[in-house]
Amino acid sequence: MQTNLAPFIKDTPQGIEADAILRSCVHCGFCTATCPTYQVLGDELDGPRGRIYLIKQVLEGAEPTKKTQQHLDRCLTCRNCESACPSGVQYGRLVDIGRSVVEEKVGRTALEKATRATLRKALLNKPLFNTAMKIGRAVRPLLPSALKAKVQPLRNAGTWPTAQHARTMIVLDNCVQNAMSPSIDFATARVLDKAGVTLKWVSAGGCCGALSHHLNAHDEAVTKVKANIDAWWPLIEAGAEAIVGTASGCSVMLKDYGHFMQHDAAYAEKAKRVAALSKDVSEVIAAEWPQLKAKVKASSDRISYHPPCTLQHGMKLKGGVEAMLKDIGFDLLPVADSHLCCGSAGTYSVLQPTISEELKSRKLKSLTAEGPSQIATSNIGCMTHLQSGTTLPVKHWIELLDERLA
Amino acid sequence: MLVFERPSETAVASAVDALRKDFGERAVTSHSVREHHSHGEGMRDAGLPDVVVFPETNEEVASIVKLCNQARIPVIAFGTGTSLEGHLKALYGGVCIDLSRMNNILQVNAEDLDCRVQAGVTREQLNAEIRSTGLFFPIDPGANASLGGMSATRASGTNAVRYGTMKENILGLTVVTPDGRIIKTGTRARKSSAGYDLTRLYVGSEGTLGIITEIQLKLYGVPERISAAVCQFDELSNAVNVVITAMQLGIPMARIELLDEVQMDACIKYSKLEGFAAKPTLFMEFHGTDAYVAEQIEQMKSITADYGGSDYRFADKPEDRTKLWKARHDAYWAGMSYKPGNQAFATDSCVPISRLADCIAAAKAEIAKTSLTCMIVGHVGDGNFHVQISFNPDNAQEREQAETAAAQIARIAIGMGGTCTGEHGIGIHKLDALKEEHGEAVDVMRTIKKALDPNNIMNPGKTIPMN
Amino acid sequence: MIETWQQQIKAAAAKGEKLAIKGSGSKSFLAPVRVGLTLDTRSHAGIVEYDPKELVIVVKCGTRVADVEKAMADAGQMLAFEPPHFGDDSTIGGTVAAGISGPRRAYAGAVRDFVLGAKVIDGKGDHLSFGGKVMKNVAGFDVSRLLVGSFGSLGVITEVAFKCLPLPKAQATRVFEMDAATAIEAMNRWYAEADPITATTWVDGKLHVRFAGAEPAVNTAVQKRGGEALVNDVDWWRDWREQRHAFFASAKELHRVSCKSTAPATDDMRTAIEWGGALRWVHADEASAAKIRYQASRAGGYASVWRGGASTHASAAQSLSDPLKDIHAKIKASFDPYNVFPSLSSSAGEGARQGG
Ligand SMILES: Cc1cc2nc3c(=O)[nH]c(=O)nc-3n(C[C@H](O)[C@H](O)[C@H](O)COP(=O)(O)OP(=O)(O)OC[C@H]3O[C@@H](n4cnc5c(N)ncnc54)[C@H](O)[C@@H]3O)c2cc1C
Ligand code: SF4
Ligand code: SF4
Repeated sequence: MQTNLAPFIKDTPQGIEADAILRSCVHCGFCTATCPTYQVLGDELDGPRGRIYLIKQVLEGAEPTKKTQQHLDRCLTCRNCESACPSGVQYGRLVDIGRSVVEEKVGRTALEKATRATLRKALLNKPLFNTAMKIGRAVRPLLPSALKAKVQPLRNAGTWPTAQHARTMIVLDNCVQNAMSPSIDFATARVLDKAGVTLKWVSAGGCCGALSHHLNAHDEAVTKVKANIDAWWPLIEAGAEAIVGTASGCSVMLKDYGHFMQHDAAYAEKAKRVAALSKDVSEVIAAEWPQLKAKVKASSDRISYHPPCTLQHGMKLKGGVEAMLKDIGFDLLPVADSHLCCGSAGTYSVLQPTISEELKSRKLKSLTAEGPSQIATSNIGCMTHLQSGTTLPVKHWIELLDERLA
Repeated sequence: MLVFERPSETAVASAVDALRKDFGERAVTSHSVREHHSHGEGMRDAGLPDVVVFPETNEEVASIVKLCNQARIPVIAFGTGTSLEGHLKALYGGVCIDLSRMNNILQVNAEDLDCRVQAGVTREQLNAEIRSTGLFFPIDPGANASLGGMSATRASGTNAVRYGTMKENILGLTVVTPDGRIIKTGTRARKSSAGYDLTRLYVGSEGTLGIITEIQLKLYGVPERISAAVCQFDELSNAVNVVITAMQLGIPMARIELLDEVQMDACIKYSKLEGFAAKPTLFMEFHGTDAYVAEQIEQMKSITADYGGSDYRFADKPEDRTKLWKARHDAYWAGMSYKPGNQAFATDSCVPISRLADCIAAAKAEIAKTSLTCMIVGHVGDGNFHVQISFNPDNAQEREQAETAAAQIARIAIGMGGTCTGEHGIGIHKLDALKEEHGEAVDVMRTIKKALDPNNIMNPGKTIPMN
Repeated sequence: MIETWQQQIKAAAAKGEKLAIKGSGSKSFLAPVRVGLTLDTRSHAGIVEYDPKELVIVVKCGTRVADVEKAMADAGQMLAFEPPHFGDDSTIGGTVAAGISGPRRAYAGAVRDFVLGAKVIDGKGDHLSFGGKVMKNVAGFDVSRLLVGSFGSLGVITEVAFKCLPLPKAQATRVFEMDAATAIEAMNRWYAEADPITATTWVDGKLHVRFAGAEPAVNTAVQKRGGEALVNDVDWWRDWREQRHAFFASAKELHRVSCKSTAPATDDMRTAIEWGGALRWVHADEASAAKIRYQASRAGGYASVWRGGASTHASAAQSLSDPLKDIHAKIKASFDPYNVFPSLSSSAGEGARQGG
């Protein structure tokens, strides 16, 4: 597309990046039909091509309105559109820039600000969130069903392996996951232990920074990122092979650290190194698969798998988990439209409940169409979101693997 | 140009109010929605409508048009907005009728090989929904356009040689006339319409005579055997001569598409085609029974061999074929992403088949006079080809070169007994070329326009030069 | 000749007189009632341009259809809509103005699908050119096709450019004994299954199917469908096209029904079926006419009197709704503001105008 960015942004790093992205978009609209929000709402401006155009107009000097902001807010940032785009348009980056500019110009109402702050604070404050989840569980039987859905009974996490192997990896201290489903990291630790790797857990105040980043709290995100880098650095120096993200939503952020910190003189290099070491748990396990596969007790359960957007569109990791699940012997059922988002999308389910619910029910319909006995996925967000709409167990796939190795 | 007085602000405001009252949230005045409806593809010089309305029934469309006719406010129909000649620009503001909510397939009559659809149904939607019947609708312009828009622009696609264009495949229409009446032309009976052939008049009228709300379309059985093949050449002229020979021998190709070396390069990069060289190329497809397809291929092979063509690469599996034709359909986008940030003109000449080689050579010579990146792609089986002329819109000199070359190529085609537009239509960009091509005959077209739309509210300023 | 006609038309327009246009008169039974001076198009005859390599032939209106077909056949080509002549001297202009097509219509297309462009003298005496010589043209309104079937009501068609198709390499006609219902089903299904069919006629309990195209395709179809060979099939189809078959001769009053191709057969009246089921010829009398019309409209089509019937005048125009009538009048006035040419609704044979 032809562009002509306004002076306020033209020569800034953001402006230069946005300009290059906008120019690479040819307006073909191949992305639009695959966009979940477009599918639900049917409005050009609630699809990627429309959003790109809106952002272009804002960056070219048009005054954004509340409506503009709403169209951008409704985007799940699932990046499905990136997978569909033949021109390699980096929509995810562009929408980040677009959102921050629009927020600067349009602002947020007091209520919106409050909701967003509460969300951030609650999810980021470990003790608080832990307590909330505990209380929630204790009173779960008494909760109205809509809320009950968000508070799932806890699976027994089991024990963390104690063996000290020569090979080590670091696991991210994840903000919500440990409270909501600690069993995932424990399972990962046990699986890696079987592969001869010790998984190290360092407390760094939690969170990869993605949450703040997506709620447009840039400084807070930077603080989180720096804290993580500082906490891991000694272990990296000591030879840790990888930083493992067990939630694909975090993995994708970890891999972006290099880009995210590129303008920070003190951290740019370290961040690049961290990003290079960052792996999604599925990549790490795939590398160890030959030896693990031999130890697996086969199962022929019928399961269906939901690949999170952050995995398939964000990190462009497709088919890896599915291949391993098949190797285990699972009867992996075909799922229609597996490229679509489930509607969880970080805090989206709280901020845009209507669209989110619609996407959840569509997703569950396709996941359960063939009658699975359980559902697997790769991200805590998707897991709890989906679980809130079905009585079938929804698990992280690493938990399934852990069970087959026990 | 004409000759249409922009309605007064108060007239517009009261029409908008009335529409809001009737349509609620389906009458939209936000800037971004109006902007989205103010242009097609191609040159995106926008002219904003005052309001965009999303009707759902024929009667709703009629009520909008009636209101506009009374208030003398322009009405512009919007399908999917892929037209290339400025068809959608609201030169005088007005009401844009977006037909996307009229997207129901009303009937599929598998035995009669026809169907009736609302105007907002897109060609891909129709084919997806009738797939299970073993039938298909063949007209496939390079964009997933609405069937209403395709009717309004008389669109055609890659298989016009075999299946014709929109005009041969429309049995009848429901049209809302400029005074807000709903009429039906044609019937289920394939070959009938009492009186003048009005269907043919509305097909291709680019929204200037009425709003098409329903279309009765012919469908075809999916052939027993479909085989696609690619053949490459060192010389563009050889590839063109193959096409001419095949047409003169009457080989009933379902598709035969030409891409020059630049276009091929762009497509290889954009659609990630493997194993092809950036050389002049023919994409071909054969339909029929096994024996029949085999014979067509043999005949074609002997022709391509005469002209030094490469061995054929076949794509018989549906997924390979889909990939190949998708690459062809995406040629325009491939061209656009070849030079990010650039704009492009796509010429659309069509000449008698025997002049095709001369015309393409002359077009190439014209391009060579510029410093611009140009590529050629075309449904050459019917003498139609596009030169996509890419230019930097911020560079006045490039823009001028592009405009000159495009106009010159149109003139060359007209001089060879051809037309400036084989499928994209007139819109606002080709009004002058239409005069050059048709001379006084334009007067009759204008008289018809004035007779059927006396207040000139239907897409004013398009298609027919009014002075 | 053109100038003479232009002057005559201008003079008639100035004086408020009427003019009529006539070729050989072979389709007069279908044409508007003629009043006033008659322009005989046969004085403007000849092939203007024909280079078989161009796949286009341009002919003057008064040229005999037979001459055009002969020239094309010599070059291995044809007018693929297979025009009925209804007389040895029938002209090209009349064929286009009457807009009727022959047996191949259902498979190759109608006259209008093969008209690439036309020249016409309108009611003001201006000689205008629409369309051109190319396969696809979307420049402006599709006026040349509006002239097809206009029966001289819009102007004098002086010249027409047609798209040419190569003659098929092989042809074979097979005959199948079957009742009408079975025949209708077979015609539709075989066509959908992409048999190379170029004509179908069911008459007197027999379905005639003409396969034509490349040899292997014809052979495969013949083997697949069976049936009996029809010897001299070229003659048979010519007779059928020219309505010289006994079925037509024996009709006192003949109705033409254009309907959807799968419409059920009416078994109580003598009927022939062609165009894959989309065209029916019915022997009728005064009493059954209304019934035929009713059944046709139920089958999504039209019935009209073709030959021999009474009270057919103007009924075509009457069958139009008010808004359509209005549009017709406006189109007519756009071409012929002084009403020099006969109006369509004064025509005798509405039948053909439904022929498309
Ligand atoms: C990448 C690309 C490839 C293309 N390839 C081809 C091709 O191969 N062949 C081809 O013929 N064209 C092609 N086109 C042009 C375009 O796709 C066609 O013109 C298409 O028919 C437009 O349909 P639309 O639904 O987008 O109509 P729009 O662009 O929305 O409208 C087109 C015109 O029709 C009018 N209109 C729309 N709907 C109606 C209606 N219901 N009633 C009355 N008027 C209406 C509008 O007012 C406007 O004047 C291409 C375009 C692109 C961008
Ligand atoms: S990120 Fe997802 S929701 Fe947002 S525009 Fe892209 S596909 Fe749509
Ligand atoms: S698919 Fe890519 S190039 Fe096409 S409109 Fe979407 S983002 Fe732009």
